[in-house]
Amino acid sequence: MSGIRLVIALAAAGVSGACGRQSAGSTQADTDAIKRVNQEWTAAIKAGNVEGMMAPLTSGVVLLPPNEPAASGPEAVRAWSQRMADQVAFTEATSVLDEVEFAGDWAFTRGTFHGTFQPKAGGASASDVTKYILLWRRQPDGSWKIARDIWNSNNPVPAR
Amino acid sequence: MIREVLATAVTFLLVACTRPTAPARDASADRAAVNAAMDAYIAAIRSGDTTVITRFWVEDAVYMAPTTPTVHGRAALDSLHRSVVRTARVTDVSVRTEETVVDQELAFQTATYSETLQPAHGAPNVIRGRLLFVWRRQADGTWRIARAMGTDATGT
Repeated sequence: MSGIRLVIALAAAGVSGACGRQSAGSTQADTDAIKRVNQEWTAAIKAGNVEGMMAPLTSGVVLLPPNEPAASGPEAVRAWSQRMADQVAFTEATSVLDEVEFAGDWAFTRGTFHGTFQPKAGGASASDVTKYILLWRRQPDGSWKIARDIWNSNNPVPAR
Repeated sequence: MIREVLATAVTFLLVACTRPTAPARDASADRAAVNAAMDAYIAAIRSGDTTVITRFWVEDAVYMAPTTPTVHGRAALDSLHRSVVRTARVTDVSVRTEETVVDQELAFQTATYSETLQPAHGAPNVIRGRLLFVWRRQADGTWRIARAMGTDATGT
């Protein structure tokens, strides 16, 4: 794990006032479902609940974090998430979802994640705002799960 | 006669209550078209022609680069492109697509990239990282960039 600021990521959700752009085959219920999952995911991140972080991810999930290698598949993502949970405790974690757009069995969400966290090894708490895009995939049972997650920060890359 | 009216009404209701479906597409051809659009976009960047570069973006495009605020709209993107070209020359750029997914009118593309910016004075700046593009099919069948996010992996 490179700079500790980056662990804030997982660029989750929370949801406030996002607009949904429907496509053929999607409904308002799909938008509502994604918003609900987003909120639950954000809560899991804030709580450091790794099982909760994993719950809404597809079996082929890929994380594309800044300044470190991609994490492909549940095993790699679980390890990444556990490292984050081991290193920091979030005191604040909120997300503003700017948009949701559907395309068949795929959707993307775009927004910003605001987090304040305390390093578990000690030291001052830190805050960051990250921008994110999530790709969602409709599951055979009709639910939506996160398939890809990419994010970055407006702040400079932490010194190494 | 009544039976025919009822049958027509039932048919109408069935159609009205079914979620709309998208027309069938050739997924392989769509992916190839998106990848070709990316190749053309990279060629435009190599050319340094900002008018051509900006043409690849939709009017309400959103670009989220690392360490800078989000850029909204093609006009703002055009200003950004012109600003970059004024301060540095792109001497090398390469993109390696990792995945292209097309569903209906959107395409999602992930890739790794590397580019070298040569300022008027000083050493070249080599940047590399990952990107995710959301492409939107246009009315004429072409693909344009609707959303884009990049990460910086230069230090890794």
